[in-house]
Amino acid sequence: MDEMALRLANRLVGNAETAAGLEVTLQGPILRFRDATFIALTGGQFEVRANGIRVPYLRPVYIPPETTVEFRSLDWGARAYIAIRGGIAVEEVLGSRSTYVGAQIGGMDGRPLQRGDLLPVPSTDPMEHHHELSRVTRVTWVTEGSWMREQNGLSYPRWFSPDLFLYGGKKGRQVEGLRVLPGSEWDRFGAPEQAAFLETKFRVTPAADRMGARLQGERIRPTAGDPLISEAVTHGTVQLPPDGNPIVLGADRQTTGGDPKIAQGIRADWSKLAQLRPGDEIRFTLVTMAEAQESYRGVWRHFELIKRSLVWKGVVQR
Amino acid sequence: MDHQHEQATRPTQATPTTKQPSFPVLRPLGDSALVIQFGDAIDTAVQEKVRAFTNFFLSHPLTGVVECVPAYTTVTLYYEARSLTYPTILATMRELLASWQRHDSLHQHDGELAAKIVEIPVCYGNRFGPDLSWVASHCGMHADDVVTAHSGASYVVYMLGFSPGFPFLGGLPSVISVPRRDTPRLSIPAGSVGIAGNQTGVYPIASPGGWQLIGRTPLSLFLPAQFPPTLLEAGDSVRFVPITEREFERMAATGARR
Repeated sequence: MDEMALRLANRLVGNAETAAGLEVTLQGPILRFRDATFIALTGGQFEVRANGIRVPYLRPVYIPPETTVEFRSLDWGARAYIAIRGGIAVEEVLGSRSTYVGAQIGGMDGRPLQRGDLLPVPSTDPMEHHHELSRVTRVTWVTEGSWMREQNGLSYPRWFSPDLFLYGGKKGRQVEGLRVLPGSEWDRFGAPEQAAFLETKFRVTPAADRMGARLQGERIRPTAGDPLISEAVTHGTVQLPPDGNPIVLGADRQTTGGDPKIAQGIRADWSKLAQLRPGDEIRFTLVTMAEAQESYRGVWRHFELIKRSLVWKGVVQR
Repeated sequence: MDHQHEQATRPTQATPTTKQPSFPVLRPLGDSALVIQFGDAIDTAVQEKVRAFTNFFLSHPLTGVVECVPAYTTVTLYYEARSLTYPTILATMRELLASWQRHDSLHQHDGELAAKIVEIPVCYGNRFGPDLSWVASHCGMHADDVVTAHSGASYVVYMLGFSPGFPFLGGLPSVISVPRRDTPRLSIPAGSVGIAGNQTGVYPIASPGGWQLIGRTPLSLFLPAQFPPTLLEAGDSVRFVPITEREFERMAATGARR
């Protein structure tokens, strides 16, 4: 769901950005690492503990052999990402290692992970990454003290990656502005309905998953017209089914739909969408195509800067 | 998030299409997809254009365009907004459409539009088709006559959508046209054959849905290990062949469902 967060996590452990990682939603796992490796955490903020210390986000973290990493409470957001050095070598299905639970394909037999699953992580030499980090960091950055903080067997750099700044304002359960373009059927809604759509604070209901999130607030109905002919929908599409409660579609949305599309969440805000959890409130804000596309290019420009800073810090993509 | 597809039932009358000068219409789907609309009714002439353009596009791929979703009247192209702006893709597609229209007038209805005919075995009624008797009484028919009507017709795959490999089939005999269920089912088993309005379709994977279920096929419609990963493609012809429960079990066991 939060593509940029996974890309960043992969970068931090020196993986290809598109390597498979773990997406953790609302409730996290307890992971047992048999071998030493590096991991990185990004996205929604959980309290993650290992060997009695809190595992920091936005950094490569060295995990010693036979370590248990435990996800506890969720502080903000909905989805965290875990990259493991070397990636997760599940079979590709239709060119992807993603899990699509709806069709039971990809990942581990097309299902969410279960207790006892053994993740196929190609063995890498964690020391190699350690050396990369220490060599460059020693030379270019560190003038005083140890470059790595070592605690209870874990170690991680004193630096951390700049954040992605994709989640807007303060991180918390406040009203978030989700920027949208008018949808293909925007004009099927009368002026009062359009205004209500833009002024209402919608609450995310518990019916929220990778396919979409049902919202609740003002009920919004289109003016009567010809029935719609099904056509493509996409990530971020805001549909209005007959009951008048909007649905924002997610990464696992269906390919086509026949409900009126009142709006379309812009791509720069897909990460924000990924971090909504039941109970959160959101408001929609209209932007223009030029603003939407410029924001999305801005996301990538920022990401390129982060990548460059990571190369300086010694994180090299394998 | 379910059964949006059921909204789309509109009479599939194959009226001779009056040439709409305004089509194709180009419009955005958000900031990283473009919709090309070839008409505003579900009919075979529009569908043929959709298919022809899809074939043309797939054989003339554009850098930066990552996905192509054909539907009843539209082809939606997903592009990489990191490198392409909407005005750029709009101008490029206008040119491509013009060149396709020249190409299309030269190659009208040649071999590339040849579609396959697929027979889908269906075990009608009983536990596989829990709504068959309701459909029969709604239509004032005997259940066997519903089966005869459904399996006697030839259908066209207008589009795939909803869930992976779900075919939207046109050509349902009007005598067995029924409204969809008031309350959609939360889970429908894979292979279920349903009808709603003047459409019929097959649920490729277990999913929610509101169509009236009259039978089930042991065939798999979604084949993730193959390319294309679906049994059916837009334009294909489909016939349903009644089978017994015994045959269903045998076909299911011998791996018709891969």
